[in-house]
Amino acid sequence: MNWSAVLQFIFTDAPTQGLIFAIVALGVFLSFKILNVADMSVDSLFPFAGIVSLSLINAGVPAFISLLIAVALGMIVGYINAALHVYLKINPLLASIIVMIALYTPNVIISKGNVTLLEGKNSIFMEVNSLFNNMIASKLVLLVLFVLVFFVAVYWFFGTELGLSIRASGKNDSMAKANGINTKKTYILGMILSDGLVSLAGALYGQMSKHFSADGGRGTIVIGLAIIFLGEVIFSSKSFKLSLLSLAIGGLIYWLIIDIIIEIPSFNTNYLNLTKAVFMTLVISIYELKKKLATHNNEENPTFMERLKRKIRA
Amino acid sequence: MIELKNIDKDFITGDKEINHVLKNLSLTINDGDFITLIGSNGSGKSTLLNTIAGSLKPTRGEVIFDDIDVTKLKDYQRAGLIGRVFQDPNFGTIGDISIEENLAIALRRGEKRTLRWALKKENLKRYQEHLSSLNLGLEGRMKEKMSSLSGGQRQAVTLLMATLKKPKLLLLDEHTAALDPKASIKILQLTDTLIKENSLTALMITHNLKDALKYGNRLIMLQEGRIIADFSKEEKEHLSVEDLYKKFDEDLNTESAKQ
Repeated sequence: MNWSAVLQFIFTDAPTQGLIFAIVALGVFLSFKILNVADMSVDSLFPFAGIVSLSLINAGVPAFISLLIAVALGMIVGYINAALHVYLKINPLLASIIVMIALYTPNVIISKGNVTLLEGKNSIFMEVNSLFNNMIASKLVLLVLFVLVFFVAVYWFFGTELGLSIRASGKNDSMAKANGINTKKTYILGMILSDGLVSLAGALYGQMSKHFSADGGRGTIVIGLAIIFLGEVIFSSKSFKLSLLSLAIGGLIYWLIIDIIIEIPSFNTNYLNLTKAVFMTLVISIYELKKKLATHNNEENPTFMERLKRKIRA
Repeated sequence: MIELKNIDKDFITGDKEINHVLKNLSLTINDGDFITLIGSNGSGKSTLLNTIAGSLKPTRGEVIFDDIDVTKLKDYQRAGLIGRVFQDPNFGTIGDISIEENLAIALRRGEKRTLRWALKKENLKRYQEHLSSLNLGLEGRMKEKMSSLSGGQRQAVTLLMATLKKPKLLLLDEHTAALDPKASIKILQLTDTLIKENSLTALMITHNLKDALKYGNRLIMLQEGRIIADFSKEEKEHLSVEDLYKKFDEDLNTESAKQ
């Protein structure tokens, strides 16, 4: 066994993937947990942002600016996604599927199937790397910085009056309206932010891997959701702050597990998507089971574990 | 003063028939009124409340708050004027966020929501005082999730939320119907105290005729979308539950005689 390769993957490859997908999970958290919608458009929005960003760099746009443009376009996609539901009354899940399908077209046209960072063009990671004199972990440091900034920003925003009103709308429509919250507006705003975050992750992922194919985003939503549930299972978050923290750590753990599976010598990577789906099913099942056991968590209705403990004591 | 002028509300049923739920209904609610509203199932009580709140738009007629026509305003647009408590304790509060966050949302009812931090220190103190006035021991549990409270406790907090910013009108839609008898009594007393202490104007639907007679200074009977009786405080004091039943029956008989 090549130990240096193993160490490299544990300390750089898995964490970089984990950090980028923690941002995906953060975006999906906003739609799935706060707005109560499974946003399928993530699957084509993630590659869309990566393809746009790489194509812009190839066309001579600075890496950071390409990142901003990709995020801005992603936010517009988020607006369209929300508008389909709010103004045309299309079921939110269907609206996101419509956007997912629609985005395949620009993805194929812009990337012509595949887009690769041209020789001599620099990604944001390469620029930062040269800025810090080729420090080994500069890629990781940059990603940690991104994750830190955006997680703190999301935590702050959803603690403000406006952010709290978005959380209220997703949880309880009648309460939100009774308190004067325009739930259409909050839905649109939440969707814009969610898709903006997913786009940021997509653009970062594209620049990091220097390559994106038009169908390179398949299963992104599954990863995002799996990370959310993994975080819930591990931390059973009691507060908003902990929920967010569990996403970041959940992202890291998720990729560590997936990468370990990939590294198994006899593992056929054609089975990767099936593996991810099975893993997600497993995580969600554990989550539901835990929730069921916790619902009776008070004095009159002790949990199963509590009853077991009492029985053992008796 | 709140005026309902010639309100009609029609619903189209599944088989394309028109169901007239409110029929040319007019009502003036004076400042300081505490009206109890009674009527059988399907008499239009909830429709009336939802029309005042803006959750339903009347087919015809006008809703006027202090000379301002709010008929075209949606419920969230006129929420600044109205405090609401629903029948289901889960409707008025959010279980998944803390008690203090729920209160913070209610504090900005009908106002612009900005990028200021929602849980400001000076407000937390205020929430604490309000919660301790409920005598439910909730002042020490502000950081707990709303879902950890019982139905009665949640309804008490909803009442607090509906009145945290003084509403022009407090709408109570059978807000004790889902509670056990003990909690129900407690919440009704709390309602009465809050209304008196803050001299609020309120409209309360109740299915309990005794409560309808005991509370408030005005009693309105609704039957088949029309107001069939509007008793003042003095008249109300001389009424019994039997009188109310009789009145409902009388009306049914005269109406069926007409047809």
